[in-house]
Amino acid sequence: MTLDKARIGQKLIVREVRAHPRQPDWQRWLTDIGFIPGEPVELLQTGLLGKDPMLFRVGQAKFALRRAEAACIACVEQMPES
Amino acid sequence: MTAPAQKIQLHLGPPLIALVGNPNCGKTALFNRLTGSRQKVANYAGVTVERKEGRLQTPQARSLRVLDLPGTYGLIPRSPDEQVTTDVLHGTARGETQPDLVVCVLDATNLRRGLRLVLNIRELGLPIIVALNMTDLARKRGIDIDIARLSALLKLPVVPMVAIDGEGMDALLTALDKAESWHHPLPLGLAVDMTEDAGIHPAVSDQMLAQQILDALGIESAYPHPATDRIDAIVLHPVAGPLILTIVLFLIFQAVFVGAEWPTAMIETGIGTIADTLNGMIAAGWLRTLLVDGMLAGVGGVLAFLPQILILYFFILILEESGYMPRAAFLLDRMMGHAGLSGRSFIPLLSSFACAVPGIMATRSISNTRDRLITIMIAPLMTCSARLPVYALLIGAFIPAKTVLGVMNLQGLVLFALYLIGIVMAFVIAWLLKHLTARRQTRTLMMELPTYHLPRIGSLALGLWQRAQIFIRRVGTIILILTLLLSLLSSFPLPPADATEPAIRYSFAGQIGEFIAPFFAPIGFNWQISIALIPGMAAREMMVGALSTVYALSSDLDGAQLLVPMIAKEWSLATGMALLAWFIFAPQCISTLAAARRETGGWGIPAAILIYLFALAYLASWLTYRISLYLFH
Repeated sequence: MTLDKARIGQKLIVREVRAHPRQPDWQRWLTDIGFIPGEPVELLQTGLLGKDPMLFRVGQAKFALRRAEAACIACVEQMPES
Repeated sequence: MTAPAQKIQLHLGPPLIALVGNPNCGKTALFNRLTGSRQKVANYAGVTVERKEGRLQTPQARSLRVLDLPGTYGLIPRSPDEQVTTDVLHGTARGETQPDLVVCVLDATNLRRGLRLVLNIRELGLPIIVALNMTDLARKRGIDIDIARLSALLKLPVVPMVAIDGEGMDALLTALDKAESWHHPLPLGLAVDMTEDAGIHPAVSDQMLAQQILDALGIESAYPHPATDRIDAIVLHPVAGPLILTIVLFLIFQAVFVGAEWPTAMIETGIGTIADTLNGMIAAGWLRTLLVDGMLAGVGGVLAFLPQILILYFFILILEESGYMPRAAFLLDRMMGHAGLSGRSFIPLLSSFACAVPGIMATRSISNTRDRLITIMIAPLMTCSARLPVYALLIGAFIPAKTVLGVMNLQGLVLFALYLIGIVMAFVIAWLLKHLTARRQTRTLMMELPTYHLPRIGSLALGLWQRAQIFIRRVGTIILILTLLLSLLSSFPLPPADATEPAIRYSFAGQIGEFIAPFFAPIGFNWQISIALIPGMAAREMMVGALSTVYALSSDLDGAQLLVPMIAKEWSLATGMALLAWFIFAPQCISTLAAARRETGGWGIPAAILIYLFALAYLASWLTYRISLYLFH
């Protein structure tokens, strides 16, 4: 799945950051700000009615992304604590 | 393997150290601590990014130049600011020498991201000292960092500190005195060999290195900040959030207008006292006209609203320092999105309510060029505080102070409407520009919401001091010169001995006013208004001083306090309304155009601003004048 499909509170892990067809820089930028494979990520908040923008916790930081930006980030569900 | 040879220092002057770090890492607090008030604020050559340089003395009395580079997440720039940081570090920035040493500021509570930046800069081969900042917050959150181990892993000196309290400053200064700090870093001997894995993305390989370092230090990745999370759960709530934002903005504007009342009155009284003293000392004549009616009246009128500007900036600085500003941008992102802007445009536009000049300068944080240009173009439509004296004058003269709908004051209602029309027009213009200029473009947000901080008195005071200086410098130069010029224009040439009309009719100002009056006649402006519009170019607030000069001179009446009854008598209601409409757009502010010229690096945008504002102002005044004539006469 991609991050734009995340539910609030769902614990996820970044798998890869994909290139956006019209915004080739996004891939590197998203990586620079901390969306890195293996990093835990969680959707904290969305705008009114679940719309743009989306607020994520990634690692120790919080970043607001638009849906189109979040759609570049592939992720998987975090394994439950053992 | 030998260490790389030390670069021979050829340039003159003290060595240059550069502060680099992620946004919100406390870099500016460190810069302020290191350099105190010995700061020079200017721009980088050819770009409009603010350049802050300062000086410091090490314990061994070495003098160093310190450059505060714009915050960045990596060396692939996202904005003109980040471009400067990248260029300076690579030594390719125009007019800048490559730093001799980089102080890399890391947020100890977000070590991973900071480490990646250190590793990036390390690859450039520059000497680095790592300043591990916010160690107090890290400790509170249970992040225990082994400084010696981190230093050994990075093969760089690491200094723990709490920059905002000055903790660790001595250690940093001592480190700057050690010769080995200025050596180029040794290659890292960590397990990931980038040459073997040619297919690995550079960012990913840095990430793997950073992860190894974190693993070696025994630091886990996720340490949420519970207080920030609890606040955000309320402040960013889809329903409660916008409500809180509205209340915050409402309270700020209340504080600005109520809180500024008595200091403003005090400044006005002070200026009045000086005027009386001067009037007593100097005989009536051209010198007195120049000093009292020209200089003192103009500058006094402008200084009188320093309190308003400072109070507004006080709150803006608190919003910025506390970390609420990006939250406000988050909440407003969708609303601004409808007009084709991003939430980041909110900060510059809010600042524009005080003055469009700092507002336009604040657009530097908008990474998308198109968003930035549109924000600059609509910033002058936010009702700046400079327009308030004009509004106050016209509303006082033409709108009766009566109560409508039981509780509302009609004068206040009109003032509110004027603000609202400006905002609505700004959004209409932005929306039009969006549809004229862009095929459906995908714009970037990627905005960090930093941890909340209690703002510090010291940095608030420094920020306020810098803003006050900018404002007073504006007053001191452009406005003073133009007030004097107007005073001269209004006084010379002297009327002939057999003059029958007021002296100003014979002056240059009178002649210019009469020359342009026919152009403004269709929108109801008389020649006095036409004259006053000329000094109003220096700053909108000058209009009031100019009107009182024009009227005081032409009718032997003294003082601006008589202006309200004067224009109420002399002008028709339709003229007053038309001038109010004109000032919603107020295209004649030279400072705004100069700021736009500086920020966009050309005359295209300021010319476009001047033309569209002028056209709208003329159209709005014409419509208002005609409708008012039809309704009230």
